[in-house]
Amino acid sequence: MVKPNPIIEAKNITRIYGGKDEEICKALDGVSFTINKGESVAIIGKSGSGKSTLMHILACLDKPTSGELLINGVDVSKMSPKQQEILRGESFGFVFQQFFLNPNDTVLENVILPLKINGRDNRKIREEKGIKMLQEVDLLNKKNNKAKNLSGGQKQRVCIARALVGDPQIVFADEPTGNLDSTNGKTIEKILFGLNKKGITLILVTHDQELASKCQKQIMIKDGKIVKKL
Amino acid sequence: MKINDVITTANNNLFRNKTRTILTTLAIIIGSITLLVAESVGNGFEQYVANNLETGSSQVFRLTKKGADKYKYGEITKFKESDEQDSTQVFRSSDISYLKNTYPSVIKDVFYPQYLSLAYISRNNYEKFTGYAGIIYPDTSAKLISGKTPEYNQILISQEYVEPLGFINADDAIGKVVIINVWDNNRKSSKEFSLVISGVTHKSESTYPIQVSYETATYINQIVAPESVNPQSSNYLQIYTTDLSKSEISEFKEKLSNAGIEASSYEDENKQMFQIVNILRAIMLGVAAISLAVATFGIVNTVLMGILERTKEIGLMKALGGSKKMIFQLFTFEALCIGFWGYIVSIFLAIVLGLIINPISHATFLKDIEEFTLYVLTPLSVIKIFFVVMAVSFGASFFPSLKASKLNPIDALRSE
Repeated sequence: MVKPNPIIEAKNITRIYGGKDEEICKALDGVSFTINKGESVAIIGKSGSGKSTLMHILACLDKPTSGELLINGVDVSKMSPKQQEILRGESFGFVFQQFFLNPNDTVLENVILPLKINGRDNRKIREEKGIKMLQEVDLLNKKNNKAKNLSGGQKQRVCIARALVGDPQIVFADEPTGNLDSTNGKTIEKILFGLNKKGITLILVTHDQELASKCQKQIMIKDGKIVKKL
Repeated sequence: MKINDVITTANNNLFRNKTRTILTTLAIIIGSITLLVAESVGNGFEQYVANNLETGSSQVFRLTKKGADKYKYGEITKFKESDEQDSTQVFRSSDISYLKNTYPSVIKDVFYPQYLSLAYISRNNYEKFTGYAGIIYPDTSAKLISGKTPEYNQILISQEYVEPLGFINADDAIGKVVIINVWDNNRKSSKEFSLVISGVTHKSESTYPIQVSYETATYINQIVAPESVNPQSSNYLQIYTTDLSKSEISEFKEKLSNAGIEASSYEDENKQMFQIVNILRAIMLGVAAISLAVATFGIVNTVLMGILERTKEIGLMKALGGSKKMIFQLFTFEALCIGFWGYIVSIFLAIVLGLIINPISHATFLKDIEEFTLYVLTPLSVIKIFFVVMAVSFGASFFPSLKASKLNPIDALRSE
């Protein structure tokens, strides 16, 4: 058996919204788990269960009210904002349900955006990397098309290419198939799990039991608490 | 993000909403043009004044007695036997020795004013012309279009005398001999003198048609009007001082003032003229500032709208590792790009405007003042206003950009 090598360790994470004049809302309540390098993990839960909040915290987009989050053994709360930006920019990839592509930019420009934002490489190398990624998601022929002219499935493939271009350790996918029909959904699934086989840690947020069951690990959330770990 | 990526991205973002960008740029152009025109016209006035004022070192002062101008227009003044107006308001030889003895370390020399009563100026076989003659005191100079300040037995002539006296142009006149004929004090008899032209001045609206040095004037007067070389009295005196510091000058002036004598240097007199020019300039710049202020709101609006439209994109960029600084730069540079392109167009228009305004002004209301160029666009003004426009663009975008940089990526991504 492979020795477990934790990439994410969540210890007793709580996230409370509101306070002061607003009503207090406990989105996460003492959540603890470990994710090992190269695993595929599904975070499952109904709308409002706290699964998105959890993903935001794991991706360092949000801070827990209490609890500890270690990424590669480093306490995130002790990192400076700059270090967190570097972590997000260099180690994470994001796939969103709503894609968040810049509609008037070309497909290639969308794909290389993370490299540009993080100031990596020069324009030529960026484009080479972008083209390589587009090959992997089978969209090279669309590289100069505007993102708004693509179908939903194609858009999601561009998203995946964008998530991968920076060569991340972890890919966060928030309902990646949520806006797609079943055929396109299947293609995306195949690509994502294909990545996982190459060693990238995959964290999937979904309410789809069937998709979740394909992951090695499942964390089911209800009312901010883990109800089942598989 | 690398800075060159920030700039190109910001510049490309301008093309997302072309109409809005063009309208904002137009506002910037109007603001910049007003500033450039105000500056250029100010420069024109300043240049005209500077070209036509006599300049001199701060070592030359003109002295007048206080109360010399106490009669006022529209008022009647009763005569009193005790007034002795003459003796209190004019300088006499006793005053000169008083000055020399009281301030031996300050005053190098005291001059009586010299007047030349010109009968005519001419050249062999040419017509005779008459006019006023001016005196150039030591260590002062006139603004010349050619040649240099006259020395002993030399003369300056004004531009309009060049052709009538048979010269091809100003340069041709330099070194040639002219004849001046000067009256005695009672204009009963006159004598001729031959002088060499050392330089040519601008047309004589603001200066004398002919000018000679103090030395030359004294020499001529000694021959034709000896009594005016050392007059019984004089309304003013010219003094030549040692090299004094600013504080020494004001100390000296105060001492003289306590003794009832007012001293003013060329600088003092010029300062007044420049003050008028500066007030004029300030008024025009005020108007320009208002139009630039309006442009500022245009930029604020453009940046704010851009942020509103691109909230999601900002969220995405932050999620993908973009820093606050990067977002701030992105929007700031967008405003700077608007300012920059607007200003480039403005410079072009300002140059074209100069090509239109100057010929028209010379053909119409400035017909008689040939050397007055109304609109002078200098590189210095262009650079100065460039910084103003860029500063205004930056200032206008500062708070909207700051707001954008502080957006929370989750909230930004959630916004529908």
